[in-house]
Amino acid sequence: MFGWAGKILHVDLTKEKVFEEDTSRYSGEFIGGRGINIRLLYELVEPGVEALSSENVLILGTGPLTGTSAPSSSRTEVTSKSPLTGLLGQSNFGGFFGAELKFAGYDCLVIHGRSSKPTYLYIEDGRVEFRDASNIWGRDTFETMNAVREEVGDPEAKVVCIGPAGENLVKYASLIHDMGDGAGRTGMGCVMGSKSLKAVAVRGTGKIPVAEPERFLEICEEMHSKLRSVPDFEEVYVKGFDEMSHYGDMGWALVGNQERVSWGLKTEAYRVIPFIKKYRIRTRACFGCPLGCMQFIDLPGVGACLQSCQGFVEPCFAMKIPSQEDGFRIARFCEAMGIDIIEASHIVAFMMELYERGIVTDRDTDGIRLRWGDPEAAMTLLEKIVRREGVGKLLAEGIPKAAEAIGRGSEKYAMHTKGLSHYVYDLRAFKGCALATAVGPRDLVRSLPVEYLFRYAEVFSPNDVEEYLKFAKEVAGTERAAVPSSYEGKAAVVVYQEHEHAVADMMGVCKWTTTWLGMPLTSKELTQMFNLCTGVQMDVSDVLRAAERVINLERCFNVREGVTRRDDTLPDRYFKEPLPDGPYRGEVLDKDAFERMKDEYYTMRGWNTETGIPTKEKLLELGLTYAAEELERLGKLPEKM
Amino acid sequence: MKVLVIDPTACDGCRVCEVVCSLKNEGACMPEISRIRVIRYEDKGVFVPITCLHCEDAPCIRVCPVRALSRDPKTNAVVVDGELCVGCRLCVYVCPLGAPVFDPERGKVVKCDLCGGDPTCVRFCSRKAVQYVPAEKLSAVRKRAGAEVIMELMKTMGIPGLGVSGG
Repeated sequence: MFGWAGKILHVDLTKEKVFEEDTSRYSGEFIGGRGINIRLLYELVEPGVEALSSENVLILGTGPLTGTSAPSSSRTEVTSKSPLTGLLGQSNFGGFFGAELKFAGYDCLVIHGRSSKPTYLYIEDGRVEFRDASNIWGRDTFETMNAVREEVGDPEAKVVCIGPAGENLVKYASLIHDMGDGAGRTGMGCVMGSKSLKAVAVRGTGKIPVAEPERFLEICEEMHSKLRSVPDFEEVYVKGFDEMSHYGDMGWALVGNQERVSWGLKTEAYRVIPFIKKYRIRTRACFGCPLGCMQFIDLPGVGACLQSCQGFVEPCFAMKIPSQEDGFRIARFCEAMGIDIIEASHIVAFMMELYERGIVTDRDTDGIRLRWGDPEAAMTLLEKIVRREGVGKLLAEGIPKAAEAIGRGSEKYAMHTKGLSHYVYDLRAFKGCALATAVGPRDLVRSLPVEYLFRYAEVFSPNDVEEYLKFAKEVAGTERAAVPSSYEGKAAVVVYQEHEHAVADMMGVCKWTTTWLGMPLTSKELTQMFNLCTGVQMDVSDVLRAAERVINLERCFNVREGVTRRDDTLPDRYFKEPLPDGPYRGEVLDKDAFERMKDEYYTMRGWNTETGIPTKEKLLELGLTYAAEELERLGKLPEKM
Repeated sequence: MKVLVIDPTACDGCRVCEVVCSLKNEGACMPEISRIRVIRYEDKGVFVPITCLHCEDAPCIRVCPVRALSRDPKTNAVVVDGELCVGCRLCVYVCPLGAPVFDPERGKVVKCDLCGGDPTCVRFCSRKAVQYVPAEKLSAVRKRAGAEVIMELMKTMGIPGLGVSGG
């Protein structure tokens, strides 16, 4: 095979056995990465399996472009059943692990079973070792990676690991790689912890053969230079992106457990550039990336780690923490402990709001005074969560379980969809974001509608406004689809972008290079590179069809676990409390209009509008006969829309 | 005459140079055999590109027992003749940077030949950490970069005399 390494590595921790499977079994229909991952998960994890049981599997999959000269070809998709939501778990990370896995001979790593003692895996050029991890169990992620590299005796080994949070089965524990690349969402580190697997180290010296080396190199050069010549390259990628104040100015970032927008427009406090200038060692890029969105920050007294976007934004905004130094301290703590910064920020924010409203008191919080913006209180609470100590034991279970146990009307402030917290992005004025959050396979960041870019252009680069209106007109038939507060055309935009972004996740390329962030790569360019790299000849429409297949199978996985249209929703706050301030003051989500967007979305998807379940017709059309048969057996399959 | 220069202060460690070098020279993505490697100290945020810098007085040429290494008169690159190389690896060890690459598959050493005067790595490096510049101008270019650091420092320290943006 060209492009793909050709093999999927299955590791059974219970039996300490490995076996291999040909990637070609799945690559035709599912391409790779997120695609092959869901195909494997759907087959390997039966409905109703406990996420923390040994029957769950943890899949780390790369794409055919991972590890090649395609720009930003660093990505690894992590897939499992989520212990946080009980549904599909998926998260994606960059860095150097995915490329190394392919150089070691594997496109994908599937971890089965559960080890009887702390273990780590060392994969070296087609050979797998089960190694004792008792000495490193308990260590933080940064120490773990150094210790593992030292033990395997190769400083070039690439390590992905869990921290104490994963060991202690915090439901939103993350996987961490390098100095802070991480698969944070949906508790993939908790699954790894439940398997007593502390780390996976990989070292590969092999090659990824390319079908048409000369033409592939040529097109890659064209794509790299396209990315290097985006107008704000110097501004954003060399100097550093002032995203926090930008989000504030756009009226896009929510503050204080999703309550307000602008926090009195105090965005001046969040100019990130001076912070970066002061503490940055350098910019840092993942494998093959011409952009390099990461900043290697070393804050005296705290330590070093990587920060891209969410690290600062999430704790500062969600908990109203007014200092970036404190935001960084919290973010670094989360990375070192291996806990998802997003979920962690929002559960602390949730508790802060309950505390401020008097719903919980010192008695419930082990005496921690959870005032808005208090970084010490946040850190103390997070430490308890990581160790599952006192109140931390409950909070380690995630927002819905915590709200259920606390009761007293706290459910009203539990800001999540299907058990997963939202990002600090507005879902009241930004109607497409609301839709994408409600119906998507994970959350908003899996696929960001164009209205975000339109709004960014309105505020910061008016010259681009036309471009996004034109884009909206092309995709949805109406320019209104680009306008945040409009409900028109949003379903079309969400469907379109879900496919585009899935293509990047399947190819193993970072979404950051795509229309997700207004960057120049689309499914067309990715398909061109894919064809020259693999020698497979696919049209863009074939690739988009594969993306549709993936989205549908992801949906089927969740349907099998009981998800229906009713679960595709948002907390009442977004429907009942208008934004109290900011440029979209007074905006609220209209329930009927929201439900109509969902109708439109399901219709476009070929899903039954009453249940939100893919129809038999759609599944058969996509070649997902086994999924159709299974849903039929479970009595869930609608014949038609 | 142009020379290859590396700038570890600019490198952000992406390793695209490795993968395009191997693709150009070997027709496959294979960093292990790339003529340029980035040594990453990931926990320190330091990334150092290592490749042949084509020394004026090259130890590898002198040490080669079969005279497989020589200088390309066109580019001034130190190049290896694969027909002559016996795979003794002495050049790998005498090179102060360890730049020549031993290819176990062929049993021979391979190394950077500046792609005949248009280095592929340079074309891809978005941070300009690998550059191919006229040798005569190198000193002035480096001094200007040094001066910019000093100017920035003076600005930060509020030393006057730097126009409106000073202080």
